[in-house]
Amino acid sequence: MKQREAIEGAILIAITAIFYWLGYELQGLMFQFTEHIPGVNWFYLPAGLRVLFVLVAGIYGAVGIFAATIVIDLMHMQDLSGVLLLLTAAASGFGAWVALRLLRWRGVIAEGLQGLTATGLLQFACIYAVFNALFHQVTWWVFKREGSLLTVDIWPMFVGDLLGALAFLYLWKVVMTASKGKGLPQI
Amino acid sequence: MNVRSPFKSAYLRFLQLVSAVEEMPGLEDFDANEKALFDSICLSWSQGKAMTVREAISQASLGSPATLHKRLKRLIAKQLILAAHEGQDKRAKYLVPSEKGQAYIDWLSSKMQLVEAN
Repeated sequence: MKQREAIEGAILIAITAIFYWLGYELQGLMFQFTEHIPGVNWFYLPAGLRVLFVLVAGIYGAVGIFAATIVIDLMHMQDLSGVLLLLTAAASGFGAWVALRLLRWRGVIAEGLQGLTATGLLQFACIYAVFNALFHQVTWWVFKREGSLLTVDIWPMFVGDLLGALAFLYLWKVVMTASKGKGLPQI
Repeated sequence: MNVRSPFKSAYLRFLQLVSAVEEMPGLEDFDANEKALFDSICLSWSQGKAMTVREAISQASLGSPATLHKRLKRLIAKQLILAAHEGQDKRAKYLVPSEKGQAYIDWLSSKMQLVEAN
């Protein structure tokens, strides 16, 4: 049973990592123009994938994003290496997870997401955007990443993550509404 | 959560997330709960006895009064239901399907005829 759990967990990590990486590449193709500095965007659509994966797959989702971010940073961020690269990946993977833990502790979100409301979900997206921007920027500030300025870059990153997460969630809602209401008159 | 399988718990969480996403404000649609309330109001109206707001929100089988009140407000906001006083009696508001609501009933009945024809 334990072995089966481990296999399922590993599959969830792999799926999360692959889709997050694909999401990042799509972001690069479609929204490169929103880039403030490398790694910071005014609109970051994969933020929605972070929200989805961490809420659905929990720690496995966070680990999957962490793993994907290592690969992404190795491919696209030549200035990140060693501990800085690992900590950047950890900020990417675990920002949303820490936000989830906080909201669980505060009783806003249940472990199995039972009774999750739209308000709870939007609250999560907002707190995730705060943590993600904070973790990234503090890491880069501590390690003196070239071209990074904490007090300036934290804002576009926060805005980009929040907008990306909201856009993703609303896009999902639009798709669900459209598929449900196929053939229904406009209400 | 009492499920140990990561797949199962991910799937169950996904279902919860879907309902939270559906609930997000904006992009109004007509969910099954609203439809049930709309149906009961229309049924009562079609029998010549328009429901009052009080009667509509007291249908325990559909939900609590607070929930039904919210649902009713959404139906009114979507202009599917009208709430109006009848004659000089200002004590109760009666619920009737609006023009848009009746067009929706017509549309549903045309679809039912189509199904029957097939």
